[in-house]
Formats: sequence, C-alpha cells, structure tokens
Amino acid sequence: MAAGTGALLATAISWAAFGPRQLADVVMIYLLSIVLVSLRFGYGPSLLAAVLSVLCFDFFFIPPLYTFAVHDLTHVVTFGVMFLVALVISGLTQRVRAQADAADQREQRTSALYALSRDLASAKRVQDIAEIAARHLFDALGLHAILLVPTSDRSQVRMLAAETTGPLGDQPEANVAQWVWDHARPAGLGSDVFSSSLKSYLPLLASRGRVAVLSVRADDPSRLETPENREYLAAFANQIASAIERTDLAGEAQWAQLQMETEQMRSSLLSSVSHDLRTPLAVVTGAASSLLEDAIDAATRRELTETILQEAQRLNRLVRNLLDMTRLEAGVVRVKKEWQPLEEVLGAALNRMEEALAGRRVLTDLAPDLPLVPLDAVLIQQLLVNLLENALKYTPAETAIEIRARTEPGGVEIVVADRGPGIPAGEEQRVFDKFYRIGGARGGGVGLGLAICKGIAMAHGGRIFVLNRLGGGAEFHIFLPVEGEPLAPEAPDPAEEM
Amino acid sequence: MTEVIPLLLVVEDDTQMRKFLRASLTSHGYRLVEAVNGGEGLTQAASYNPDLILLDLGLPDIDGLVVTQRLREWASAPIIVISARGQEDDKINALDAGADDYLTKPFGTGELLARIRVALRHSARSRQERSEPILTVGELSIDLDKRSVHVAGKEVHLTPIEYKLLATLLKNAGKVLTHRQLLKEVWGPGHANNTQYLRVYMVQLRHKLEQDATRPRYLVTEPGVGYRLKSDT
Repeated sequence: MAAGTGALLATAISWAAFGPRQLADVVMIYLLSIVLVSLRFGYGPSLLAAVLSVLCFDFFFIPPLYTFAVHDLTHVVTFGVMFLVALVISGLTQRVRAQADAADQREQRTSALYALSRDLASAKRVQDIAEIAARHLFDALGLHAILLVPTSDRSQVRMLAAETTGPLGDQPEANVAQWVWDHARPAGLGSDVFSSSLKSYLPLLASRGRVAVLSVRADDPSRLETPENREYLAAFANQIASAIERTDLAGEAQWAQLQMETEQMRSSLLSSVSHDLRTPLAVVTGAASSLLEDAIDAATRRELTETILQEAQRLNRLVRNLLDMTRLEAGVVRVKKEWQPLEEVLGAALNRMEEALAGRRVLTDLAPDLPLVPLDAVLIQQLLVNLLENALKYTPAETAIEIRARTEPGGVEIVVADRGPGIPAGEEQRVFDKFYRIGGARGGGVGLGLAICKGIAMAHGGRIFVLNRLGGGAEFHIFLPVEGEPLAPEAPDPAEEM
Repeated sequence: MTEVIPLLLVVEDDTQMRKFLRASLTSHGYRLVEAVNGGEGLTQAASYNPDLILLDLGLPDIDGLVVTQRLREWASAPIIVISARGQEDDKINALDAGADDYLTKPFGTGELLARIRVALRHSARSRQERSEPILTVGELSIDLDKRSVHVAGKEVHLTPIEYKLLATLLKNAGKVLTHRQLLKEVWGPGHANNTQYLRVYMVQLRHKLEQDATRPRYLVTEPGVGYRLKSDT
C-alpha cells in the first residue's frame, strides 16, 4: 500500500511539475519517495516502492509513453542505477531506523529498571519485594513472575503465602525451583536443564550468596529465549536479589539490636531484682533467727517481729510488681472494661492503702460532672495504688497528697499530685521506663511501679505523664478515654418489696 | 462460757501455710481439722461436719471451685476461700457457687480472724429466726420493721432500691457480696448482669451515708468482685 501510494504520488507530482521532458528531476522525486517510504515503513515496503517507481517511471515518462516498452537502451541503464540507488538508500535508512529503535528500547528498559529499583528501595518486607517484582516484570517484559524464598533453615524454597492464591498456571514447579536453589543455576525454558518446562527459573544471587529463586512464565514462550530478553531479565533479577538481601540484613540488624537490648534488660533486671529481693530476705532471715534465741527481751522481740512483717510486706510489693509487669508485657492481662464511676475505683485504692496512708493528708477533688468511665477496676486501682505508694515513699510525711479528676475532651483526667522533690528535668519520660530509678536510687523498689502504671494506662487506650508543679512537687496525669455510651437499659424495677 | 468451741476445717496443700493457720487459729481458741487436698477435704467435711471451712483454691487434685460446689450440695457451713492474686475470676466463681468470703494471699492473722468471726456470726444468725429488727454497724443503723435508716442518730431518706441495697448489705455486714448476688437480691434474677446500675446506686448510697464518698467507712468496693459493708469486728 505504502509503496504503491509513494510511487503514484511521486508520478503525479513529477507529471504536474516537469512533464515528460526533464527526466533527471523526475528520477530525484522518485528517489525521495523511496527514502520516505523506507524511513517510515521499513525495508520491505521500500524495496517494493523501488520496483514500482521504476515501472511507473518507464510507463509514464519514457517514450513510447504509456507502455512498458523501451526504445532507447540508455534508459535501461537509468532504470538499473535508479533501482540500485533505491536499494542502497533503503538499506541505509533501515539501519538508522534499527539503531534508533534499539536506542529507544534500551532507554525504555533502563527506565523500567530504574523504576524497579526505585520501588524496591521503599520495600521493607520480602512480600513487598515479591509484589513489586511481579508488577514490574509484567509491565516491562509481559512476564508472570513468582518469587520463592528460602525457609528459615535455608534448606528449601517456598512461595510466599500471598502468591499461592495466584493462577495455577503461573505456579512454579517445586522440584525445578528446588533444583535451582540447590545448584544456584538457572533452569527451565531457555536453559539447558529442565528445558521442557514452560517457565524459566533464575537463582537470585546477591553479594552474600543465593537469596531466593525467581520463576517466570511468558504468554509467548519465545520471549524467554532471546538473548536480549534474558539479559534484561537477568538485570531485573539482580535488582530483586539485592533488595531481598537488604531486607534480610535489616532484619538481622534489628534482631541483633533487640537481642542486645533484651540482654541488657535481663542483666539489669537480674542485678536489681536480686538486690531488692535479697535485702528484705536477709532482714527477715536475720530477725527470725534472732527471735529463736532465748536471751531476748519482750521489747526487742516485738521490734524484730514488726521488722519481719514490714520486710515481708515489702517483698510482697516487689513480687507483685514483677508479676504485674511480666503479665502486662506478656499480654496475658485481659482488660475487662466496665462502665463505672471513678469515685468507686479511687475509693477502693484509698481503702487498700488505708493502713499505709494512716495520718497522711489526702485531699480528693472529683468534679461533680464526671461521667461513668469504661475501665478495668482491678487494674486502675493498681495504677492508683502504685502512684500513692510512690508518693508515700518519696515525699515528706507532713505534705498532702492531692487527687483530682475532671472531664476532658474525649475522656477523663485523673491527677495525683504531691509536694515532694518533683522529677529532675529531662527525666519526665524515663521515669516510666522499666527498672528506671531517679538518680539510680535504691531501696524503694525495682523501678517498676510507674512502668506498670504506663502499661495499665496504655492498655486502656489512655496515657500517663508527669509534670513538675509550681511551688514544688510532682503531678501525675492519667488520661482515660471515654468512647461511646454506657449501656443504658431502662431503670430495672426492684424485685418484690421487702 | 457455755458456747461450743467452733471446729474449723482447713483444706490447704502447702505445709507451711497449714502450719501458720494451725498456729494462729488454735492459739485463738478454735479447734482444727486439716486436709491436704480436695478429696480429703470433702471426706473430712462429711465426717466432722465443721462449723467453717477454709478452702485453698489452688489444690493439687480437685479445683477449689468444684470442691465448693460439692460441699454446697449438702453442707451449709460457711466457706472462706483462700486465693492467690490474679485469680479474680476463680474467686468470683467460688463466691457465686456459694462460698461466703475470700482471703487473698498473703494475709495477716488479723484479717483471717476477722473474716472467720464474720462468717461464723452470720451463719449463727441465719440459723435462728430473725430476732432483731434493728441492725447496727458503727454509726449506721437500719430498722427493718420501720424501714428507716439512721446515720449518727439522724434519719436518712432512701429510695426503695437504695433501701433494699443497704438492707442486703447490712444483713451480710462484714461479708463480701458479688455484683451478681446483690443484683439478684435487689433487682431479681433477671438483672444479674446489670452491674452498671448497681454501681450508680452504690455511688448514690455512699453520698447519702458516708462523710467522704471517696474514702468510705462502710460501703467498701472490692474491685472486680463486689461490695462489702465493713463492720468493725
């Protein structure tokens, strides 16, 4: 079509412009049309255009006109030269075209590779990498790709869970994938092993060795056999491999970090726990063995007995805190929220602390408009008890402890305030850390009381923080969210009157 | 004293704990039978018919709750369960299954003896017909015939539900009552799960009867379990 159109167009233009006299110019026009056809439509059409041009030229311009007969033999030479020139032009333009196309494709592939590496850079998990790889391989090469990652002992490769739901035809053959993993060599279509397979399997190799196996299938299997495509695929595989290695390394680093922190915590726990548990135990043991001796007067006897009791109670607090923390951390604690008045939980906490608080001024100020709050009474009581115990431990006996509660947007806030030394600047956050004690203070506890408070507040979806008060002292703020409405059945009728 | 010395059954598997209970209870004039597991406890209860049973919930052979249920099939003696911290649910289940009170380890002699006294007195009272129409705890008194309540000699007006709640607590003075028990008693068995209502009424009651509702002298909350009207003994 293109060739015919070119030849006819050239004929028409030449006829109109020059008529049958200026043959040299007419030849030029024909050659131009061949160049255009060859540039636009390629080698085949340009050859056809050359043949048609020669025929048209003969038919329309060479006497006798309107026949293919030729009287003058020099015209035959003209035809030959014209055809030869057309041939050369076609060949040259064709090569230019091919080079441009190749450059084009190279550029496309480079930008596809770049896009892949950019997407992979943000991937944090192997699952993400698998997804990104599959998407890019399909977009760039029309390949259906599946990633097989090693099991934790690195003896086998498996598909990721999300991939097993894909079309069955895309699922890799486990034995081939395993062979590729074991030998770190490609297999399947386009290689010399398992070449009857419809898929290609590539080992993904990174700087530290194999990291995964990539299985790809093309709708047109021949695509997997051209060296160009295989090279391109290999470039993709490299990118994917290094991305996987990167996440592996990151995971290992994180794990090592965690290991180290756990180790540090364990040793700090052991040292503080062993000290804090041993001290009261030593006192109890000593006092009890003294009591067994006969030569002890009644007053000393009583004093020793009281010491034993106090130290046992201290031990009980320590063990309770340790157990609470362990359970909060292990997630065994079920938060049983029920809508209830704060007044009641506070009352229960004060009641439990009654003996310890004896003689201490405690000022309570609960706003009259406090709503019912969904909370776990046992846990919130513990939170308040821990704060009260702290206040008793660290603040002068003659100062008052204040407890306030008021409604805040989205919930309620409880404030437990004292007139003690307050919190050293910069340590307001750290006091809630496990085993943290201000200035490394010993004797009070293991440094878990506030960590437990934080754990309880967070388990309620709330928060706790501490501020230093104007005029001295610390002020602990506990915010508890109030979401939704308490279930409000119509007031139930009392049973039979008594 | 013509009064019979009460016989207590202690069901506890830990030797030291038994030793402590034996020492403190016999020195306060109680007679004691001991059992080291649930099976033995049930046998001992049947053969001695004790006046009160102290039952550890963490027994090696039978669950303390099951022991409570089996005992309640025939025995009316008060049961006080001994539990460790963190066994809140076991505690409540035992109370709902008929246990009369609980002690959480570790506890002191004072607390132990107070619970025993309350439980024994309560069971003695429920055996005889109601003789006293006026119940008094501290400055709080209630006249069951006249349906009137006084705090420090001043009459306090209560709504019917408040009155019924207070009367129930006073009749069980010193003893813990679970949410479920109170709801059943005051509102009837259909409302056994409306704890929210109970809490609201308790708050109202405290505001009418207590000087400082955040530090109640009488109407004490047992978090996660229920309420107790604190008596002085």
